[in-house]
Amino acid sequence: MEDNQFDAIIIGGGLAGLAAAWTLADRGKEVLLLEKGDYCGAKNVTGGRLYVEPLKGFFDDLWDKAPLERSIAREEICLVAPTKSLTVSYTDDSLSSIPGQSYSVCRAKLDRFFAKQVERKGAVIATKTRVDSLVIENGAVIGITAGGDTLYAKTVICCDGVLSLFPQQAGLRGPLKPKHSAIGVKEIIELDPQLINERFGVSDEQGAARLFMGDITCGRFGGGFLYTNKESISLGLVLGIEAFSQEGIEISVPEALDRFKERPEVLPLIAGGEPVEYSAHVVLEGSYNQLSKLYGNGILVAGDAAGFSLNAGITVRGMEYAVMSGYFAALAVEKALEKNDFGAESLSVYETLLADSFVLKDSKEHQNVAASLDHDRFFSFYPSFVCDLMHDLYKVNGPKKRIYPTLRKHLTAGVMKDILFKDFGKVKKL
Amino acid sequence: MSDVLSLKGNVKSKLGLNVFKESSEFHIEIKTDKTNDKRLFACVRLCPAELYSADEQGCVVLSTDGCLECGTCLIICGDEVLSWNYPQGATGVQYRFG
Ligand SMILES: Cc1cc2nc3c(=O)[nH]c(=O)nc-3n(C[C@H](O)[C@H](O)[C@H](O)COP(=O)(O)OP(=O)(O)OC[C@H]3O[C@@H](n4cnc5c(N)ncnc54)[C@H](O)[C@@H]3O)c2cc1C
Ligand code: SF4
Repeated sequence: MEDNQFDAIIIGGGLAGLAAAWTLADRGKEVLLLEKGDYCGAKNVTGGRLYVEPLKGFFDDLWDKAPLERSIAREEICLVAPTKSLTVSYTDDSLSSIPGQSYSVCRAKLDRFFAKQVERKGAVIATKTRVDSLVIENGAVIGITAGGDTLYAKTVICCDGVLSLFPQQAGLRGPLKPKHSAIGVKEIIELDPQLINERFGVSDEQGAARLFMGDITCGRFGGGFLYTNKESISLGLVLGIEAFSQEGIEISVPEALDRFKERPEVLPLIAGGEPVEYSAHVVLEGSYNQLSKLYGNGILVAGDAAGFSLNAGITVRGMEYAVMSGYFAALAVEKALEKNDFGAESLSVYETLLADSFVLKDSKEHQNVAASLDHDRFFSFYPSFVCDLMHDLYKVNGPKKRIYPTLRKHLTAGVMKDILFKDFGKVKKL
Repeated sequence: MSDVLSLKGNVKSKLGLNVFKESSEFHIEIKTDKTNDKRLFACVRLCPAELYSADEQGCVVLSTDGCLECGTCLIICGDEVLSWNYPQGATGVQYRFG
């Protein structure tokens, strides 16, 4: 068995798996990565914005060559009430400079490119291959089965994404709950790059991110996103699964997306475009308490499979965590190979490495965000409240009240009490 | 109206934009005695590909053609109600953008 034993088998060729494979192959280790899609990225969906800044300095010049779409130079947020909205647009010199801190991305292109670099480093990638189960012997993971074959490895790194079926098989975590997950649905809409530049006030290489919150999710946990790519727009919704399953919501997920597209804050931006893809994927709510156990005997977990994702309703971040947790999982395997010890204790260095990095630090820092946001007031009351206030401030239909009395009319004693006593404590956790 | 809305209300046509590779197996199945489980009715509204529907007997039926492999139904129902797996390698949806 020793002869045909890999140093590491990696399940899943998303960003976490590819980062782990690149790092191990770069250090001359024998790596096999298994991916069920026709190519890496074929099954993967993101919003998408990747913060490249924290990844610089890792993976040689990968990020300089990667097929990134546009550098996000304009950050917009749109609060949506049934018949009104308020949009705030922000930019500054550092956002506008190129290279920028974050880029829109399309995963089918990005992951495919990354996979090529991984193969150049010497790792073997088997696409079109679904892993069927882990092989566990005497409490240790010693390999996997796929299509009737059994393959052995000193370590298995599970990078199988949000549903995390293999970490569950290994007993490292339980199934995901509706309360801790959301559904993301998205359309790619092709649009003339010139129109994108004009509509968003950006140059060829620059782009915009517009996030929506309020009525578009029927006032429940979640939000909408719009990212400009080079020649297309990524438009989608993220809807809390538990929140959206509740009674009182009549519309379906596809109907919610159609309604969103028709909103006057969205339609003029996508008009004339052509939908070319329709995708969906579960999104983690992501909080420290929901993390998987990160390692066991012969096994490590990285990326969404481990629970490294932050979903604050309107923004989702998971890609940087996937990349860096894959990287640290690879370092942990390298250390275990030096000691020739693949037990849980030897692999626990993975958690130590993560704890020193932004991956676990962010996860701890933001652990209460999702819980505090899981509160319909933030997704229904406030967007409407702000829009109603703007309505009165801008309305002229006779004698016009001064600004202060208008504010007083909206900020009644009851509203102030709720803001101070009900919501302020929650806001402090943001 | 702009053509960007031309597929409104027509999930089948939206799915037609995607590349799917056929599979001989059903990768998701409703367990036999669970077809009227309450959780399945939530899938009727939440499945982004509209693959769940309620029949006249008050049971939920599923067709897996056009499944986006998103995992929402598994999270809603759990493995008490569904036997759920990803489709075999080289089958199912293959995103070109993602
Ligand atoms: C709608 C939406 C919007 C988002 N927006 C953002 C954003 O703007 N910014 C951000 O940073 N993050 C965002 N995220 C989160 C981000 O996409 C994820 O955190 C990230 O993709 C996780 O990467 P991963 O490598 O862990 O998992 P994945 O990318 O899911 O990769 C898992 C891989 O494993 C493979 N696999 C699974 N099971 C098997 C098996 N049995 N055999 C073989 N292969 C298998 C899959 O095919 C896949 O390639 C968003 C997510 C969604 C859904
Ligand atoms: S995985 Fe998603 S698309 Fe497929 S049947 Fe379940 S909910 Fe529908």
